[in-house]
Amino acid sequence: MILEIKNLKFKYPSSLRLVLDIPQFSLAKGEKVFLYGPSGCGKTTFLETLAGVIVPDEGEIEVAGTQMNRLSVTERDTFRANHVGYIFQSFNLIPYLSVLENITLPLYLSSQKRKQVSQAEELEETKKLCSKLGLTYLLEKKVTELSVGQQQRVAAARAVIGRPELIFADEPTSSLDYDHREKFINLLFDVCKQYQISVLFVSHDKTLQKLFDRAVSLPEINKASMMFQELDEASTT
Amino acid sequence: MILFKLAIKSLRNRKVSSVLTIFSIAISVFLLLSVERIKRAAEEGFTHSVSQVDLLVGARTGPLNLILYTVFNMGSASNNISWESYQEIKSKPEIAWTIPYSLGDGHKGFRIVATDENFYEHYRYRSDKKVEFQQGVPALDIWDVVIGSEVEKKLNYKLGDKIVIAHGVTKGDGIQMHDDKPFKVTGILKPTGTALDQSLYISLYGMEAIHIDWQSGAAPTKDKALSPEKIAKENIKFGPITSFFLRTKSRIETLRLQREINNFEAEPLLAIIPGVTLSELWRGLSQIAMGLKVISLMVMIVGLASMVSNILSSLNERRREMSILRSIGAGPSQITVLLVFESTLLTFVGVVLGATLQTSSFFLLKKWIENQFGFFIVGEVFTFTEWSYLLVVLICGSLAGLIPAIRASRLALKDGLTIRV
Repeated sequence: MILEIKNLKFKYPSSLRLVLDIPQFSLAKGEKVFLYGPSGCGKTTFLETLAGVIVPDEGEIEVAGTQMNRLSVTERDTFRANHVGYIFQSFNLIPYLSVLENITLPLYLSSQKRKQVSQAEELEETKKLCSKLGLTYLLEKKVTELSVGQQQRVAAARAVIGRPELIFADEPTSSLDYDHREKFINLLFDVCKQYQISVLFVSHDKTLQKLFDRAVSLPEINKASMMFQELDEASTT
Repeated sequence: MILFKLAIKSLRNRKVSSVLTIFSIAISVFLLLSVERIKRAAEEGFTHSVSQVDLLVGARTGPLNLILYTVFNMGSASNNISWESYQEIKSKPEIAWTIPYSLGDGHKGFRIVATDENFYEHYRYRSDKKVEFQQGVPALDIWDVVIGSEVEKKLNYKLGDKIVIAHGVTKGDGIQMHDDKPFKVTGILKPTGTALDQSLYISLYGMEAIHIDWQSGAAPTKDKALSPEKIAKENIKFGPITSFFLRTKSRIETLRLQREINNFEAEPLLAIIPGVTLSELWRGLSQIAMGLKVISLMVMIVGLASMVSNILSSLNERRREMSILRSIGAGPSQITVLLVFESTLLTFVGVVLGATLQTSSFFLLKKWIENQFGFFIVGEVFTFTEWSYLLVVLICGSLAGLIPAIRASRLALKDGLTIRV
């Protein structure tokens, strides 16, 4: 398992109610999982917990064989840089760097990723990734000159470079139109498959779930949101 | 290394705001250094009004009074030194030279200093500056007069012009004029930025000559007046003088000689060391010095505040950028290094620019300021004070980067993962 969660419990210090209460959740190596749920069901909090931004009150989070909650803040930073890639909804790129510089940036910030791709191989590797993602001729361009779709693909290339074990994607397609969404996800999967990278894809857009190995509804695995679900169901019937 | 590259690329990306920040830092550094430099120049110009003189001797009075009326033409002498006493002291073997000053008359608000050739030869101000001429020669003959640069500027006299001296006044217009005995301008002094500029210089002969036919302190009646042509150097007998500067052959003699003069048998005299008294006087005028200090301090505070706020706001705009870096794997310490490096770089460039601007503009404008305002930019370009100011500015600028750095490392990751636009 690349990601393993047991008995995860979290509530904000100011409130009494639990936001997250997830008995079990896991992700196998190379597996692509679609996590969906309506807004306000704790998706963001869940992702923040996985990323180590929020420390859970109870439970265990294991990423690539390491217990996240046993690491210090600095260790968690280093660990995240070494083993995890991120793709966000938008504004992912450093505006004053070229496409090439944006993609290779993680290699300079993580020793583990640098081990995977040496400085000599850097250009070769980036070119390979870019040809897969349809960015071949854009390498030297400023990212601000690219379309939103191209920008999102640059972000994807940056997330997978250095072969992290796991990628968290938080609504990465919401600024793309429908055709581009599918295309983007397929391209992302292509590169992930090659490097055996697991993907946890979070979205509220259920139409995308058919592209994934598995789809999980957050409200279903999160006991803390049951109450809301019941409320929702009561209101629709 | 990647952090420095990022910082520089980022600064270049925000060219306008970076340049503005640098510029505002440079301006405040410029102001700070200028105020400091002017303050120092004012102090040195004042305390070095007369130099290379060991003692100033006058009739017994207070040291401040003596220096005020001799050097700055403020107040007046209460008594004189007899010519005999002057000669006796002058002829002492340990004395190298003396410059006699005979004061009391004036011309249109400027004072007349009667002196001798030693004044042109030995008088020094601002440690080693000599009295120099724009035009003409020293006033050594009876009816010669040399004018200071301010006098020339105010009254527009040229060489050869005739001047009438007013009796008994050194300020304002006189009542009694020595109009029967006009003087001829033979020289115009270069500006010195000291009280020298505000005086006219005649010879001791001249001073005696205009009073030669006076009787018991009153002007002669027409029939008893001597015409200038009839007066020759040979038949002039010197009377008392107001004060004199003296230089010893060996500095070690100074204190002994000072004591000796202060205990002079024939008449009560006072000898002071001008440098010491001038410094005391400047300290006495500490209000001015304090005022300048307060101004330079305020300039510094305002400059630093605008610099810090500039750096802060430019860094605040980049919260998003920090989040991205954070999510890619830059740790809080790396973010801190990045931002502090950036603010240090901006401040450093600003400080260097400001300092260069200040030194070069003062260098270029020096002559103009001297001629226009009679204000002399003197002294060291950079003293310990300047260096410490620059250091403080640099440290504050660097620390300014810490504030957003701390905020960025606390917030950035959460921002990066959750900000929705």
